Amino acid sequence: MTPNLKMKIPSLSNDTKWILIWLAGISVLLVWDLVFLNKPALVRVWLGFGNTLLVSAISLTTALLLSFTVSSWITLSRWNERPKLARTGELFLNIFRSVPQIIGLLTGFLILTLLVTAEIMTGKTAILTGFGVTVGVVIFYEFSDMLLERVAWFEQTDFVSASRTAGVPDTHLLFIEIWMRNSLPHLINKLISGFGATIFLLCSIDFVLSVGLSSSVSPINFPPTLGSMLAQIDSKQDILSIGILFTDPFYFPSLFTRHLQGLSVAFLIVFTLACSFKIGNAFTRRHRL
Amino acid sequence: MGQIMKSILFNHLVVFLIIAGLFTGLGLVSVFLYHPEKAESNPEMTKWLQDSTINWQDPLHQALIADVLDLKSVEQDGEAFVRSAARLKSDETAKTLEQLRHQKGLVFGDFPDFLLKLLGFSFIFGLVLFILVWGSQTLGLYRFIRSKQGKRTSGKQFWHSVYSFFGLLILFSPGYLIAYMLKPLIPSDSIILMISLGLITNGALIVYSQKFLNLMNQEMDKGYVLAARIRNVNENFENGHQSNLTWKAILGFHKHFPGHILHHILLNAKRQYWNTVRELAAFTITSLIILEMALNIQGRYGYELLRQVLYGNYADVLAMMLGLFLIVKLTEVAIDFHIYKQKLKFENWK
Amino acid sequence: MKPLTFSADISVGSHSILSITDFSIEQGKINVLFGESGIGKTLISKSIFGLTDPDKLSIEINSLGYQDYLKTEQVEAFRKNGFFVLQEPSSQFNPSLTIQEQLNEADLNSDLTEADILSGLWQSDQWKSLLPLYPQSFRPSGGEKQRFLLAMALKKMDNLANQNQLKPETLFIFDEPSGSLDNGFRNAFLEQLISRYQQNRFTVLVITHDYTIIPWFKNHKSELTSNLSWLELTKTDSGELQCNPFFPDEFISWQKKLSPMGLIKGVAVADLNSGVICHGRQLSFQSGTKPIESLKLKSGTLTYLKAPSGVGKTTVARLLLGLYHGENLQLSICGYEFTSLNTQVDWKKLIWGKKAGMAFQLADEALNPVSTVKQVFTALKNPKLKTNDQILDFLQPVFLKKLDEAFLSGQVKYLSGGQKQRLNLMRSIASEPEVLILDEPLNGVDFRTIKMFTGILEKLLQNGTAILLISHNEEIFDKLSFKENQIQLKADELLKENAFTTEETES
Repeated sequence: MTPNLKMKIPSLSNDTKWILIWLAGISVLLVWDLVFLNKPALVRVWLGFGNTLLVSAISLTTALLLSFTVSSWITLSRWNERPKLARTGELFLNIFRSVPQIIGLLTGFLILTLLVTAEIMTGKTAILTGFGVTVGVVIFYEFSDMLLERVAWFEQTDFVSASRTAGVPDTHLLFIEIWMRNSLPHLINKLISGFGATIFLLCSIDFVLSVGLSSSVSPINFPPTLGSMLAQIDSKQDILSIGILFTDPFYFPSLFTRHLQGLSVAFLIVFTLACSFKIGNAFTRRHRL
Repeated sequence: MGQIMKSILFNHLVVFLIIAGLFTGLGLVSVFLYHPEKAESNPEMTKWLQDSTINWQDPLHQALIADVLDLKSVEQDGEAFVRSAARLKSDETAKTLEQLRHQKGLVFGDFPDFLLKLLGFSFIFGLVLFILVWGSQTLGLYRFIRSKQGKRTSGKQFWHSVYSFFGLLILFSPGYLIAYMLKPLIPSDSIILMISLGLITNGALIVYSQKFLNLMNQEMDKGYVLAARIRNVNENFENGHQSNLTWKAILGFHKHFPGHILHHILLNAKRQYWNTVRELAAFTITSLIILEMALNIQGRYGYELLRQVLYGNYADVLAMMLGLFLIVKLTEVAIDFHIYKQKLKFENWK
Repeated sequence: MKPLTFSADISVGSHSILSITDFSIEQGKINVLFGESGIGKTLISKSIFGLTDPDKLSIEINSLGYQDYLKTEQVEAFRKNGFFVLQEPSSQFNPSLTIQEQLNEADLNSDLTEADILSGLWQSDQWKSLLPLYPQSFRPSGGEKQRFLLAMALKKMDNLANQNQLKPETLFIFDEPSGSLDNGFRNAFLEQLISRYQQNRFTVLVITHDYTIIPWFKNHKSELTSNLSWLELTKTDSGELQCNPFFPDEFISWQKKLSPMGLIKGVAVADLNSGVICHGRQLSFQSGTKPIESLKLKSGTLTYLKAPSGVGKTTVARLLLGLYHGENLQLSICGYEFTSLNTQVDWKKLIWGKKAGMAFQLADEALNPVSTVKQVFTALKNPKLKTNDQILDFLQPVFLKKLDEAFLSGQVKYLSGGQKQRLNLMRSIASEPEVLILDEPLNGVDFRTIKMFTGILEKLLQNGTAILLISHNEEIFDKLSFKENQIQLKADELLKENAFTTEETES
């Protein structure tokens, strides 16, 4: 009898697979960097990555807090027939919704710059928190829109009226029945896309500011993130060196040893963005959102 | 004009006035209270800057100085020091050259030039947005048709996944990253490169084509599609004239497929997509400004904006940002008007 | 002719949704299929007709994988020559194409005109103004959309008959064809269907909860008795479905025994004035043909509110509960006075969950599908319904089987349609309200549940609850309520000339 050599692999959802691919990609890069990248650069790249993840976490937390506050304010005001309060909330949300993210970010970062210059904000944790809060304020309306869409969806059906007339308290109906029990996949999906948006915005604005900002705010004061790391001369030279491949394809292996800092930073940014997109898509499909 | 459109315009106006008021307030604060100071004088940096043998733009010189500083002191970040010094040097040169022109900043110093730059940016923005809307719908539709054809064989699937993943990495690369990669081939300050990067990179095309694809999939699940299938509407997804799925129709701006189930789906997906275009417009502005800033395209709006930030002309910065805000608002009004016209038609008001 | 017999296994992942070995349809006959909502009538019918999405469910029919089944000649013939009228007409129309375009699309595009069919279904020529409309949620109304869907099926029959293709093996399925129709319009449709059937004897499957179709056939089409096949889908204890014969005489004898319930006259606990204006319509009440000043709900009394669909019966219920604002409103309910100046906050403070309750029409919408049965009741924060025992004791009287804690911890979405409807009703009476509004309480329930429902109604009336009943099941509720308490609702359209501005402002 031939033994069955096929191992039964538990079936994983596509989103979980992409999370594992992301973690595996990052781990392989870490090992490679440990072997081939010089120590100061290694520390800077991975500190930058850690800082970027930290800022993302802070910005998502800020976005969540703000969106829950504003959305519950609008919904509960509407349910309790306080139109002026509801309209104020909607106006507040409209303002953030219609300001392009670049304007919000630049304004936020200008304020941060001023605070750092005036030495009102000192310490790397405070600055990273400032980064996170700024990005969170800029993207929170997307979370609010989702939360309000969920409420509107349930209002279209008899669910809200039936629950309220049966005596279910408004706060229980909103927070527990609608948002917690019926919107968790939507919220997670938003968090995934918010994570991607945060990384993109943070890296871009950090890159732009690090390349072009004034000498009065020296990057010495700003903790490294992937965006600012990319703006460093070494990294830029590394990225430029990819172009050499167009004239000398045999230069390819050298990229992975001689230009590792820039390549690592670029890979971390792009790979994270692409994977978060894939994770989000698979999650959307799995939950039919 | 109907009540709804009036109310939409009123809302836009209120938001614009609030932002304009906020920016004016901040601008006044910056004019009266904030005086840009010169960079903190650092005796060691001054000493290095005075050395005329150093070319601060030469990466080799920069790397050597950074290494020297790193060896000299553990606490000092040599590279950051060099970057600051290099920037200070180039700032000084640039400042001297532009001193006369920028004493009052761009907006308040040379208003016609500001307007010209704003119009130039608006034109590029409009062009990129138009192509992005078409491109994302076309790509979304193509992917939808491919998924319905289910053509891929398992042998090719692996390579297809590899290609698409590398494609995905390019589509998700921030535009400035690709620009640096291509620098040896194409000058990074070219406008055409910027437009191409605005279209292809930053995730815009792939994210918004995915949104269109999701809308189509959602529509596909709706009852009216099943009802149309019961009437035996054409649901053949193979390319060709028999199915009406010609390349001309797929690539066309209107994407018209009479008699096909796609006709049903697209009518509704396109209507809903307009709400997404509002979001796409804001995203396009963001990525174009980032590209202009990052690529240092001289004379462009983003470049000027960053320069005003650099010179501490905060009133100008705010005025320029208000200009961008105006473009977004006008785009939103145009989109809202289009949606309103559709509403009049499809809700039987006209 | 040999009946069409199907076996089917439908599952999603490892979760079995439906399993049946003997689903039979008599060819060349009119098959009427009953069964509570959610049991699988629609799913099995759609699957055998080839309309289920194979990517979403794992389906096996007659031991064939679904992709293979779809390629069989039988399915191709069903799709080519048959027709399926889907339930819930509101979602069956593309909102971006006019009714006219959809009525003449693909298979329906022929030289034959649909004018006669539509005039027959409308019993007037009002349909003409609806053809150029893009279908929206409220216009055309649900009943009008239902008639357009039925017209499509009838038009296809005519096209096929014209080509001599309307044969006994041709299958036409109607899923809840009278779900949005008043009896008059339902009968008009049945007349058209039967006149075509009598000429060509094709196969018809009507899926319905409308048991009153039985007396209609008996009284008006007795000559068709041998051409009718009455079926009922039931679930065995092991979860398998069975397609059993249904005995129409059982319903007819039950219906004959019905008699009015509760008191003829009790103490008025709610009073809503005639003349209240809501959504541009002035609502007024009549007893017989005599206008009355107000709608009075009295303790221990069953008040039956009647009107053709779309007139505003549910609007009245929502006005009583403060869910809609009414101009000229003068409402007295459980000792509290309300006018147009009151807001929902007042109803919330004084009425909701305390004095009045309402069982909404669609239990699927009214209940949270992902909540457990226990959570449905603990959400009410009612001190009498906190523990498992308290909730079990409260629910047990309306369930046949012995309830246990496993039932309480099960999610609502896994309950059958009848169970959900009972849960919906029980939640609305959890606070022991003085006034109870029941909106179409027989929607989606089977004959067993209908019988159980009348028992619950009797007990509530004995306890002194004032009940307002809204239903188009006149054959049943006319018998359960006293003539004095059968109230007609009238609605007069206002502001027609200014409709555009009003609609715009409201939306």
